[in-house]
Formats: sequence, structure tokens, C-alpha cells
Amino acid sequence: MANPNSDLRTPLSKARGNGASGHGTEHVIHQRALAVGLGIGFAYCAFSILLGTNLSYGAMTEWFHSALNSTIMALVVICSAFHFALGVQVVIEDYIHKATTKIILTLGTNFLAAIIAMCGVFTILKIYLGA
Amino acid sequence: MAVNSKAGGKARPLSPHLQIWRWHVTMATSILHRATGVANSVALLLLIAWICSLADGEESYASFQSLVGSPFGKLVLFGVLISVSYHLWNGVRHLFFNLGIGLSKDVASKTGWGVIIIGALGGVLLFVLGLMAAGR
Repeated sequence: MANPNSDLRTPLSKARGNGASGHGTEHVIHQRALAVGLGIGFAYCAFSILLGTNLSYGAMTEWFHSALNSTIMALVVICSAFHFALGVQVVIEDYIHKATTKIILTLGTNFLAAIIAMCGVFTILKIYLGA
Repeated sequence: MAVNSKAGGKARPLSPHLQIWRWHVTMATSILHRATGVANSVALLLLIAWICSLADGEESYASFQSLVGSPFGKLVLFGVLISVSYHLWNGVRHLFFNLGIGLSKDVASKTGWGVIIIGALGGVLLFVLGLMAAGR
């Protein structure tokens, strides 16, 4: 650029935060927000389980009988599933350029994420309610 | 530098590509972040399988435990834990990047080495804590 101070973007364009595609900012922000929640939840579950139980069937069902533990584990599963879907979508978009393959793979990733999240929540609920 | 001799007889410079690009740590951390991110999908499937086996009852849980407790299972678990730990720590580094902190060449390289070391150590710590918990 001839003049380094020149800026072709309008203030409104900057405030909206969108690039040429007109969308996608929320993708970046969701990925960061999910990452923060996931990091905190993972640290809680990992240390609570590894330091407080012996990983046996009895100890683990007891761990899941706590509403706090079950809630945080369910949130970890949900955040993981969405973080996974958004992350893998970026990888697919970077390497797959054929439209139909890209759409099928992205759709498949999102379906898998939905199955993972639902499966996790229902099984955690089953353990919590006393399976 | 690679040159293209076709363009009008005069050698034109090409942008350097992977083969002749000197590896530096910030490049490695970026590639590792993506690779571990994909590998963490396996960790997520393992977590779900673990919860499902627990919900299914004592027998299923025992077979899951013997699967993960086998030498191959332990190897996969060890790799997955290092992958998760690295991705977590480099993710924190990325959050600082998003705040505009630590973007200089010098700081980014130092924190890059930092997350590689802490990531690996964190994975080892989780694995050892797991072995200790199972042995209690």
C-alpha cells in the first residue's frame, strides 16, 4: 500500500467484524469460548477423578452420583463435541476443495458431534440416576 | 531459492516451500496444534466409550478397563494424554495470542518451547496419576 495509514474498511465493517464472506466471526469466538470452558472442566474432572477415586466401577458410579461432578462432566462432553466439530470443520475446509466432498464431510462431522454430545449426556444421566 | 526458468527465459524466484523451509519452533507448535487437535477426537471417543461402559454396568466397565489396561491400550492412552495436554497448553498460549500478548518472534518461540515441554510433562503426569489411582 502506498500510504500505510490508508484503510479501506469502513467503521461499520470493523464493528461487524466480518471479512469478505460476511460471516464466520462467531465461529472463531465460539471456538475460543468452548476452549475456555473445556479447559476448566477438563482440569476439574481429571484431578477430581485421578486424585479422589481408584477408577473402580464402584468408585466411578459414586463419583457420577454427585450432581456437581455429573454436571461438569456433561458440560465437558458437550463442549468437547462442539469444539471438535468446529475444529475438524476448519481442517476439512483447508484441505478439501471439492464442494460435495466438503459438504458431506462437514455434515458428517456435525452429525457425529451431535451423537457424541447426546450419547454422553444420556449415559451420564443414566449413571447419575443410579444405573 | 527455487527458480522458475520458464517465465520469458529469465529466472523468476518462487516462494520457498516446505522442502527448503527451515523448521522453526512456532511452525512446529502450529502444526502440532492441528495434529493433536485431530488426535484428540480419539480421546473424545475414548471418553464416551468409558462413560457408556460405566452406564452399561459392571461387566462392560470391566471389559473396557481390561482393553485400556492392556499394553497396547496403555500406549494409546499415553499418546492421547500427551496429545490432550499439549493441545490444552498450546490452546492457552493461543488465547494469549488472541489478546495480543506474546506475539513477538522472541516471546512466541520461547513460549513455543515452553508448551512443548509442559505439554509432554503434563501428559506424563496425567498418565502416572492414572496408574497411581488404578493401583490404590
